[in-house]
Amino acid sequence: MSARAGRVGKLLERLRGWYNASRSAFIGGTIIVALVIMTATVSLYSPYKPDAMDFMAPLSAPTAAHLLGTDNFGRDILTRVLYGYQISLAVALGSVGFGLAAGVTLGLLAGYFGGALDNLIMRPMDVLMAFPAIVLVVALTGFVGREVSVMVLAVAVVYVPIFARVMRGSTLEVVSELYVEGARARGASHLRLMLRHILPNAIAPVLIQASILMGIAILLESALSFIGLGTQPPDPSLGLMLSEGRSFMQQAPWMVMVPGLAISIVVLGFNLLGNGLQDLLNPARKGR
Amino acid sequence: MSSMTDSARPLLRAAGLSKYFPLESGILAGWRGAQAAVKAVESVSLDVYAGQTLAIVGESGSGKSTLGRLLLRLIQPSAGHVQYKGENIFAMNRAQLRAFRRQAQIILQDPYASLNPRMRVGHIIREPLDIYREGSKAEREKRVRALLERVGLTSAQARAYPAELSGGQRQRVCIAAALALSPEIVIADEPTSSLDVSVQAQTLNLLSDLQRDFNLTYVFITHDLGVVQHFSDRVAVMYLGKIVEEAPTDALFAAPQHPYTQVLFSAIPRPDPSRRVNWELPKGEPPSPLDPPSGCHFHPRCPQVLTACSSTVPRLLETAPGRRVACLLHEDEEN
Amino acid sequence: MSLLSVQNLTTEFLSGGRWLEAVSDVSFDLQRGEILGLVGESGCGKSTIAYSVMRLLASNARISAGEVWLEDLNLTKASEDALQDLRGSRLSMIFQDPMTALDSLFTVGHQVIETLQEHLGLNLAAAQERALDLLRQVGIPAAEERLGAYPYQFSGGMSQRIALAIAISCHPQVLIADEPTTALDVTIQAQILHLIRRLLVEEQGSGVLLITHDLGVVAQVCDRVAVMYAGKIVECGDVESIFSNPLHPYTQALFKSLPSQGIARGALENIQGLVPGLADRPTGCQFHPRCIHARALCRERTPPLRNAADGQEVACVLYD
Repeated sequence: MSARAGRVGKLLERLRGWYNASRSAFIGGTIIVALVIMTATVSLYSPYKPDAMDFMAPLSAPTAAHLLGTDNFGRDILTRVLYGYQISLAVALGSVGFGLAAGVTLGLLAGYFGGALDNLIMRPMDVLMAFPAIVLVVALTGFVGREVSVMVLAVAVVYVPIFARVMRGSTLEVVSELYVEGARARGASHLRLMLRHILPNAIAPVLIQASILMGIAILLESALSFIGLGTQPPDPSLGLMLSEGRSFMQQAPWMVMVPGLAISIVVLGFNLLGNGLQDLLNPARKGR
Repeated sequence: MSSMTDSARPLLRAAGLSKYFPLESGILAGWRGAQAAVKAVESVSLDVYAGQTLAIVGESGSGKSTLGRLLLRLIQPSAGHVQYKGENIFAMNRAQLRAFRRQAQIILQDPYASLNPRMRVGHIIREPLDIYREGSKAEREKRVRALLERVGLTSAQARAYPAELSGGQRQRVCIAAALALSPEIVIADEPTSSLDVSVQAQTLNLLSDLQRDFNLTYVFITHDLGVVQHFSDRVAVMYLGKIVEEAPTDALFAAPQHPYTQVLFSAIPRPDPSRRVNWELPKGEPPSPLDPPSGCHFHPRCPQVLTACSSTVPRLLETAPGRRVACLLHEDEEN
Repeated sequence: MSLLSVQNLTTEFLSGGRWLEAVSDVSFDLQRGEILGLVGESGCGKSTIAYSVMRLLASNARISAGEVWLEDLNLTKASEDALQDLRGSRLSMIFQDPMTALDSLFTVGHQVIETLQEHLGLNLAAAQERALDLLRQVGIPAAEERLGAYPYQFSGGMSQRIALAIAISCHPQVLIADEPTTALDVTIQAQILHLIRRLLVEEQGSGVLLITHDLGVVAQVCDRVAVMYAGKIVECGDVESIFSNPLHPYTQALFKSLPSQGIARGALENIQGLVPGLADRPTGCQFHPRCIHARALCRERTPPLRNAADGQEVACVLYD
């Protein structure tokens, strides 16, 4: 019993430590973790399926049976929002994941080797970056297809140059650090220098960027679905729900308010996390 | 510390070594034709003998750190070469360079900046062993513990991150990492300049014990003449990229020959209030290495300047066995 | 009356929710026409004293006891407005990094002239002339041209000269110099220290508190010296007396650890162990865990600074 109390105490202490380290990151992180758990397990506890229609209660206001009301087909909005998060988060994670992997690799190589390779990598990135993101995504989804995987890829393509640029800048800074020179003098290979010495010390600004871009990816997915280029009905997507709810704003305002709020909360979560990380990972905060 | 013998072959020998840093880089630099360059190191020749300590002394902008990096091929020279045991290090292939890097190590100035903040101390010291795949994993760990103990740290400190250590302890970690592969020569770039005097004394004692135990050769780059006199066998004094004087330590301190060395020595605040120096002696600021004065670089600040000094570049000539000086005053003596 | 009198000063820092003493019960006087060296290793509290005197402590630091008097003016009780008037006029400071005192957005001339107009009430023409004069005094070549230059166009030594020119522009009675030459080359260091002595001490009779870790600098320019260890002054007196006959075991050890000229090669004596951090300073005499003469008494008693020899005060039970 006391051992357990001790463990709980330790956990609480650690949580308090995180909270003190950065309130912003803690709150943002908590929102994200809570959402991920809720949406990942939604099929276990939700009494409804996302596309199950309750013909007895279309456009129902929030009740005990439908906590956040139903839509025009009598589908449970809370359930659909939670399933909608699956798509949002999948797109965000997928696009940021791909973008990170490619962008970090390219930025690291460009910053480390410099010279011709730097130009070879970064000039195409500049061109890509000059394209308006939304146009690029619309074009890609329009040409290739309206599947979640295409959306992920389209957003990733927008993200690669952003990550590459941040990573290159931060690599340039770290590459001139004395400890990198020291490791080089000790005979460390290029690969070892990049992976052991530069990457861990240069990745922080990229992670901050990643957190912010997760939020933007969710907004992009919602926007695409809203204009009909993203998730297709009847799949539950926050943007699609917003778009469907538009026609019923007078009778059933919850149809737009709930997904709208849901988008705000998750984006807020990622932005808070990003801001907090900025404080936590900023080298100026670390005393010598 | 053995004295130099004429027959001794130098372990490391630099000949006509120069390093110019171009001022502009990028696509347009070449197109604009002739470009300005900072002459950080200008035709430097010197010998480093095994088991000895050579001190390279100079003020900021003298090129002493650049020279140190050239001696280890951390940067490419604009001209000249460096021989290690008779082998030109700039002509070495990958395998040869790898072997050279094993035997020639560097200790950098700032122990705060020269340790990877995200690696534990044990890992930092083990890394050179990993790079050269020395022994088994267990053997490497054992070697790390032995090294930690040798430099006066505890094996528990292997788990620490650099941020958890004091400046003196960090410098010990740097020394342990430099010694991991049992090198023959260690180049130390201002190894104690950011440490407090009592910590500096501990570090210097450690370095000198290690030299005795492992017959190490040191090249000590520093601006602290107290450290130089205490620690080195020979001294090379640099001013604006050139060696102006080179001599055995005792001889140099007994009678510096180059006017710059004399000015430098007179400016050092000695911890002896009964011998206050004439503070007005050194005049002017060191000129920018971008646009060094003509002739002898020191002539605008030189108290003994001659008319010829602004036009004639003095040669580094031997004035006594093992003693060289680059000054027209001493060239005249010869003729 | 002393020019500057620091009496039982205690300054604390807030760390992890606790107030820790960085400077403990420190007293000393600075006379007119005198350079007093405050010497010690990093973390001993010497800079904290400077910032306490200037009342420029950061928000996580406070003076918890003691007083600082500039002649008959109690600086610890003075209002922020009164202090603002004093700083730069009667009380001046220069720092290790001269850029601390210079604003990179304005020309050097502008900054010197502004100080002169603000504190001395000079009109523009008079201020310009005086600024030119000051720049020449601190050894800036081509002073007329350099008035229009920005701080980044100057080398470290030149910037420190300008910081010095601003610091002395209003004839301060007290100059606090916090490691003013640590970042400079020795030949430039010699010039700056010489300027401080000539322009302030000899010509104006001001008092200078010179904070440094370099015992050579102390020996060369200071009249008196206070040696600090872990927040306390352990020894204080004339430079000649202390350098020829250091009394406190810490001072003795510090001198022996210098790799100086004329001392035969071989192992330098060094002080075992590390300077204690703020949170784990020992009881009694701060130096006892590292002291070769330590006795049981040293753990319990905090020895006060008391007269031990002519012109020399020491805080050690050996001299009770």
